[in-house]
Amino acid sequence: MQVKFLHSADWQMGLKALQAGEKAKEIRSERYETASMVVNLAKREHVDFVLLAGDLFENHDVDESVVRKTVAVLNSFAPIPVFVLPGNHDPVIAGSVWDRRSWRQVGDNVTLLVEAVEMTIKDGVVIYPSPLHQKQSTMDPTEWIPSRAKKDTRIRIGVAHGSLDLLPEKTNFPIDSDRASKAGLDYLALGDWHGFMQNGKAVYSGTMEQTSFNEKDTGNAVIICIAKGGDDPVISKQRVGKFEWSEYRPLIRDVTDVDRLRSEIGAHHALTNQLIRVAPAFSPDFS
Amino acid sequence: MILEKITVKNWRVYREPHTFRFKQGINLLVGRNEAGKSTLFEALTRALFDRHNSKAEEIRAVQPIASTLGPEVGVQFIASGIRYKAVKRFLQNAKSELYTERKGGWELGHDGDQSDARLREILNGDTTSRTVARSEHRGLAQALWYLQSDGAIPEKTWNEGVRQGLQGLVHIAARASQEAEIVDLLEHAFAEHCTPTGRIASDSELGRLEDEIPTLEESLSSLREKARAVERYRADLEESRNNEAQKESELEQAGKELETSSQLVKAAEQLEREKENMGRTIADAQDRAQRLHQELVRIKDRQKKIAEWRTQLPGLEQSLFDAMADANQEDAASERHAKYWKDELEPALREVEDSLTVLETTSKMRRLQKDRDRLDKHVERVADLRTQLQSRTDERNALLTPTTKERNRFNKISEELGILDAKVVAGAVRVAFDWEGKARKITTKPLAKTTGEGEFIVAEPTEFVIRGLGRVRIRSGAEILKDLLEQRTEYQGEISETLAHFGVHDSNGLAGIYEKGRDLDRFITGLREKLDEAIDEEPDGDTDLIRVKREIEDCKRAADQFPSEVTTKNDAWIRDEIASKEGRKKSLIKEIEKTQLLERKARERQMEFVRAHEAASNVLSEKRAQIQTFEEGTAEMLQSYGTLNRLQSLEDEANGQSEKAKAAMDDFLKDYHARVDTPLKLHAQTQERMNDLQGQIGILRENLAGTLARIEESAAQSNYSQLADLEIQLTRKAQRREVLQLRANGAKLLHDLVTAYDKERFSALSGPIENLVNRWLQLLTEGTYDALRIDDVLKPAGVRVAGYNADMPMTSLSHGTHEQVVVLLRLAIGVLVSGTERSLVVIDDRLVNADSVRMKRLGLILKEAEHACQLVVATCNDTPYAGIGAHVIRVPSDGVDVEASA
Repeated sequence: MQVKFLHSADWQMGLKALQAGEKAKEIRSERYETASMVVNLAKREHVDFVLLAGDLFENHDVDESVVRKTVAVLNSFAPIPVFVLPGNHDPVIAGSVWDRRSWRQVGDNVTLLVEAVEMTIKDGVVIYPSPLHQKQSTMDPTEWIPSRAKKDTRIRIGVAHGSLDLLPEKTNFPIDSDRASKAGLDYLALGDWHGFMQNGKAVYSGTMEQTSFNEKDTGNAVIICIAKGGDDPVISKQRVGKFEWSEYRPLIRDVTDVDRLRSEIGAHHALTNQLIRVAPAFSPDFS
Repeated sequence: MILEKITVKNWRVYREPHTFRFKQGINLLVGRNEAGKSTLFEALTRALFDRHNSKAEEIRAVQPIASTLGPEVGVQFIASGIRYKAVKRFLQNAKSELYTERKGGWELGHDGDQSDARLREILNGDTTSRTVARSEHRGLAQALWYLQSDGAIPEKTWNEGVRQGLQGLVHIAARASQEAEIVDLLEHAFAEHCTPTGRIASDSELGRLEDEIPTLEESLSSLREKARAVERYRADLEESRNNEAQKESELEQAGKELETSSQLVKAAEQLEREKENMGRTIADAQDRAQRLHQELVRIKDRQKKIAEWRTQLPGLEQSLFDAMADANQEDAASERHAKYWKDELEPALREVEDSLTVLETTSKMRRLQKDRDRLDKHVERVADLRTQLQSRTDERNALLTPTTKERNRFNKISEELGILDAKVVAGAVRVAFDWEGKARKITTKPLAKTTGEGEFIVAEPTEFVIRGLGRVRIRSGAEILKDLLEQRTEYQGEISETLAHFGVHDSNGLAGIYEKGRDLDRFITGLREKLDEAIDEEPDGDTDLIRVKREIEDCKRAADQFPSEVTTKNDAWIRDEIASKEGRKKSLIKEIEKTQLLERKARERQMEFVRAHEAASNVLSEKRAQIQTFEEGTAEMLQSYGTLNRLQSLEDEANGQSEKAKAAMDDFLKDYHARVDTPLKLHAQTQERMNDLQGQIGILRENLAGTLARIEESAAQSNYSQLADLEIQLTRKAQRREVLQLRANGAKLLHDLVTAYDKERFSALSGPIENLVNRWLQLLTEGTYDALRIDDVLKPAGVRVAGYNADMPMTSLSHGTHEQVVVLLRLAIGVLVSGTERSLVVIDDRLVNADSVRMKRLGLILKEAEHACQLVVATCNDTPYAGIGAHVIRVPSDGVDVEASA
């Protein structure tokens, strides 16, 4: 009973991208392209299904066109089933983005996971979605996931959005870092942390396209293969993002420092697909 | 600078060369008005500051009237310890030469344009090239020389030369060129951000940002407010959804209650049906009783009606009979009237009309006959007149007569001929022969007239044949009569021609035929008038005659059938008979009309009676039909009941049944409320509550949908991305503002520093000048004014009035005082800028308005100034300056101290 699926999260469609300044519009529109890359990857890998572990949308207030275009991307996964988990940016609340008319245009292949109930995806494969119903909480959304029963040989996959309690200064929707083993999950697909991170069977895929300068190891999607219930998952991180965000904080004492900075930037990057922020500090005896 | 000598030549009043020498102290230039004092100062300034090759209007004006020689000026002066001599000639053979004294001799240092430039350089004059130099181009002299052509003080500021001179005075170094550049840069940076008063300039980038940022913030806050509104919608939505869930559960509960009450309702409904059946039984019995009662009443009413109608029948029949009788009677009457006018009156009328026709035709024929006779006569007379007229006209046409004009011409010529003859006689030679009593037959050829005295009147060459003696010829002497004779011959010819034309021999004959013609004309005119009159009498006489004849024929044909006795009667009889018959005719016509009216009325009455009969007949028929219908209907109604009594008993029976059913119903209703009403009411209440809940849920869902729609609408407006864009824009602008703000603050700080420095420098400059002027001003005005206010460019702004400790603007001073204050300022500048060398101060007749007291004090001030300056004061009156020990220079007319130079 082998299963192969794609795990992505934190698409944050409609992102403001304030840090990108005048490039913000470009950054926003580029996310649809990156999303298409995820679609292409899923198709190329012939995955059984796709899990999007929260924060598909940046906010409930995103523009109508954002929802429309995102729905178009999700529909283009067909016939691959896509399971969308509401995160802390887009929790299930009254008047949420999920109530929008344009969201209702999603195809039959797309399922919004609004209830914390066990769901059978295919024979011998179940998922345990932990959708969020508010923006902030100190409760562990995965608390409810039942432990593996004796003789249960199904492949059990958790989907949740929150902070593993080993992450620094992350207390919103804290998730027990031992949840996977405690509940006997074969894989816990997580969202919220924007960089790729693995903690045993609990994995953050990270955002498919970077959203700010202080993020690391972004722009990936994860392909997971599980041979049978209880086996370790085979995890493969795949690059889908287009942009690299980098920041320089050089100390400038004289012109040579400027020249050095220029050559450093030029040497490390091809400047297309780069978002570079330079925040120099000037020496008092700068001349 | 010290002025030593000026030489002028060909310069306005100075046609001949004149030299003026000056000393180091006070020089008083004295001369009458227009003697040439100001001209001298003009020559001085042109020599020092103007280009020698200028051809400006001002230079041309210098040339003396009618002179073609170039105006020339030479100035000798000392500057910075060096003695110079400048010589300039303008216009013709213009030249400029600058000599420097070297070892007691003159050495030509520069000439031409170089000489002009060097001179300006020595005197700190304006080096830019121009046609003529004005006061502001004269370097330090702008402040020291107060000439007639100059204003009291410059309009804006002193020139650079003055400023440099003054700076030198207080030993503050002039700004280095680098310093000026830096100050320029600072000012430029300051102006980029700030207004001159130090506020942020609205058209600067910072100013624009200051304007833009609040607008952006406003837009942003409006968008954020929209976002908050969406959040509120969500909160409402949440609440509405909770409410909805609550209502749904209530609805479910009510549904269960409804199910329970439904069982009770079913039983109640059975009882209700029973009640309905009982009610129907009662209603049926009541209905039947009522119906029978109504039937009974209706039948009784009909019977009563039939009886009533039957009593009306005899009356109706009688009125029918009466109407018929009346109609017949009126018919007979109308027939009678008709017979009368048809059979009796109309024949009588026809007879009278026939008689009238005979009488009138006879009368008419007689009248026509008379007309015919008259017309016959008239036609005959007209024909006669026409014949006469024709014959006379023919006669007249055959007769040749002179016209009145021709006759008048003839008479006039005859008269003229007479006069001519008389003139000929008077003018002719008269010849008389005296044969001493013997008679001799004398004939003349042509024939000559003779006078009574036996003289021959010889009007033309005449030959006298004197029988027995011979011939005497008189050939001349009549030349003067030639014209008269020719005229006479002409007249005579015309007269003969006229007479011959009309076939007469003399004027009497002519007059005769003229008169005869006139008589004939008159006669013809008379005939014509008569003819016209006759025609006028009967203009259509001919046609009338034809008509009358025809009418007579018509009448004759009619008269053939008349009884002969009438035609034999006379006219009077016929007239009387006509009148009598006309009267009869009229009365007959009246009688006929009267009878016809009677007939018509009788007929109308008859028709009325006939109509009345018809109406009565209809009423009777109708009544009889009604009676029959009612009788038949009543019989039919009674048929099902038998008799009327039977019907009565049936009604009583039905009433009894109804009462019984009502009693049963009352019995049934005793516990009806508890068994039926209460369960039904409860059920209805539950139902109502459910409906209410459903209604509420419906409203909640509508609200939900509405709120969702508002959220959708907000999303459709792309507020979120707009918000993001605005936030980015605002951040960038705020950062830019911060940078610019820092720059502006720096620029302002530096600007303030420069301003403070300038102010400091100004105080250093103006202080010594103010001190000196103030002392002199107090002396001059005896302390009335104790200080001169000097503005930041060293121009006098006002004076302080000591008594009031208040400032007064310069413009409020009298002209004289104003002039004196300006002179004091210039003197003070002169004194203070004099270092190792005296400065030259020129005052061209500026103190004329000073009174004698002030003049005396001014003398003291001039004396004081003399120690530092060389003074040249022009005046037309040197008396007030007596006692100050001035070197007096008199202008040429005064003839003293001026030397003619070769």
